[in-house]
Amino acid sequence: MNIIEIKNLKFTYDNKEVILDDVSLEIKKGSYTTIIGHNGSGKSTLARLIAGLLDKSGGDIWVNGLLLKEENLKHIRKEIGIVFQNPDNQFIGSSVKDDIAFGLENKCINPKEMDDIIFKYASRVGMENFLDKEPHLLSGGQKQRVAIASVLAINPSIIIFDEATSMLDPKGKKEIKDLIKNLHKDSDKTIISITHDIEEAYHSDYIYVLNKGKIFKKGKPNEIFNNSKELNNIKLDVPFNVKIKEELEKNKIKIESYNSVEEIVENLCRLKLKN
Amino acid sequence: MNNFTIGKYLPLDSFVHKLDPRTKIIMLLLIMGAVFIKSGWIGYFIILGFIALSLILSKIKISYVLNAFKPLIMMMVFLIVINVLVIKEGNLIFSYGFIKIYDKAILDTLYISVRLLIMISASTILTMSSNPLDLTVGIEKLLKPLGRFNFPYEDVAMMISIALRFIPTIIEETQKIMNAQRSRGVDYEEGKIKEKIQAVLSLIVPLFSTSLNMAEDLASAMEARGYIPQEPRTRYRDLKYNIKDYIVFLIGVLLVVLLVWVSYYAI
Ligand SMILES: Nc1ncnc2c1ncn2[C@@H]1O[C@H](COP(=O)(O)OP(=O)(O)OP(=O)(O)O)[C@@H](O)[C@H]1O
Ligand SMILES: [Mg+2]
Repeated sequence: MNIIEIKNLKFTYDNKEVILDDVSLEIKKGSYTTIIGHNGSGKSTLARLIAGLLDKSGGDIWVNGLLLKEENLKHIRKEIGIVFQNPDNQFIGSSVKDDIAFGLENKCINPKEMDDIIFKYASRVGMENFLDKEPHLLSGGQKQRVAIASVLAINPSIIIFDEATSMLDPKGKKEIKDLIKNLHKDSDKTIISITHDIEEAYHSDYIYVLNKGKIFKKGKPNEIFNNSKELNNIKLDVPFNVKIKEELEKNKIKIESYNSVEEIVENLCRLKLKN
Repeated sequence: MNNFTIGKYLPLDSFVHKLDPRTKIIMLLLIMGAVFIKSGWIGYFIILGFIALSLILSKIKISYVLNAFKPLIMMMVFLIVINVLVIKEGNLIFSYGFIKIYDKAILDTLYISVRLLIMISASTILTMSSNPLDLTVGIEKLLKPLGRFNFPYEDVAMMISIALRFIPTIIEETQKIMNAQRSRGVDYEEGKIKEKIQAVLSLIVPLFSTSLNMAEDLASAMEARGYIPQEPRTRYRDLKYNIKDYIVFLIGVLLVVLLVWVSYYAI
């Protein structure tokens, strides 16, 4: 079942430059979908449109079978959480617990129940020992964890990550990526990840490639990355393992599987043993 | 970050810290008003005594409160000098060229200085003994009656709490930009006036643009988490008066009654 359906979506800020042009896509419930594309291709705009933060110029968006329009906006917002790129600018409360509480306050949750909910989701992201900390005492990665907890606390069925790891150091990046992966595994939430991280895209369920406001390509990772030239033309890279595979094929070497660099190394060693 | 410690919240465990922020705000307003009751030096001594007592009960070191005066010293000296020179009442006690000082001027200036001392130390004790978040909730609750006259008290409270939240971030951002510009050869300490103005512009322009971005991002994040201005929402931080607050209110009323009595009968 598709939790999000978009038909012929159009968007423009000023009626001149078209930012999104005739975008149609479907996202399966419970899937991990990535959206990749060069800077300025319209990824963030698409995310904002889905979450109802921008008004579309044309086309239709359905979320959970509900058409996105003014009357349904409040309901749809509850279904969708977004984690943005900048860790500082999405930290609304003055401390970790106040930040998680913000969404709960908007949902009119009874203040007496809030402490339990806050603790539950702070623990989910490993921030339960920092509840009273102010944002300027936290690392970027920790702030992104709090942002994730704040979004989880609203209990949306869809979470959009708009380059949530791109401003973090390598360690923070890995931590947040693992957190998102576990989140997807342990819950039935639908994950949409906008990313420049090709490896992350390679391990997702489905990929949409956006280029200049249009869907350039869509499909399973293997289908997307089987042609590196095509992607290089729109300034996108392919994962390292796919590059090795292409080079091996050029040299007429065939191996069984190439899902990760480790697998390739192992397969190559076996090949050597056989010969 | 370090120069932003004036009146900053000191998380201590004291009688004053545990009071409801609303109680403290009302007491501050009461003192601000009481300063203008003409009860002479006796009155000022009573008020100063009350402030000294609050300071002791708050466990805040007196040096912290005195620090709050530091940035104001220039302004106060200026005020005092102007006052002494401008007021021309009473008996002339000093004269040198065009400088003439009267005894009434000195007395009036002393009064004004004491009033300033009282107001600044009282506000400092308030901000040092109250968590800014609770203070914001307190302000919101106190302003609530104005909601009847369409005063957007919830928005005002939201604005205050967001400003409080972003002050450290903006200071951090300022420092980042200053370092970036320094590495490009901008000198913030020395140089001619023209160079200084250029240096400041090189700071303000990027700071302005980051702040706007920040505001835009923040607005999106708030909206995405279901915030709709003017819609009902619950509050995580709730306030409750307890017995201590009622006692303090009672003392406040007694203080004002005492001062009024002094102003009528004792002088
Ligand atoms: N507020 C705005 N007003 C006008 N144009 C905008 C605005 N925000 C973005 N754009 C334009 O919309 C286009 C798409 O921007 P968008 O942020 O969606 O790209 P993106 O794919 O998310 O890029 P990135 O990878 O850099 O985040 C860009 O050309 C950008 O200049
Ligand atoms: Mg973007």
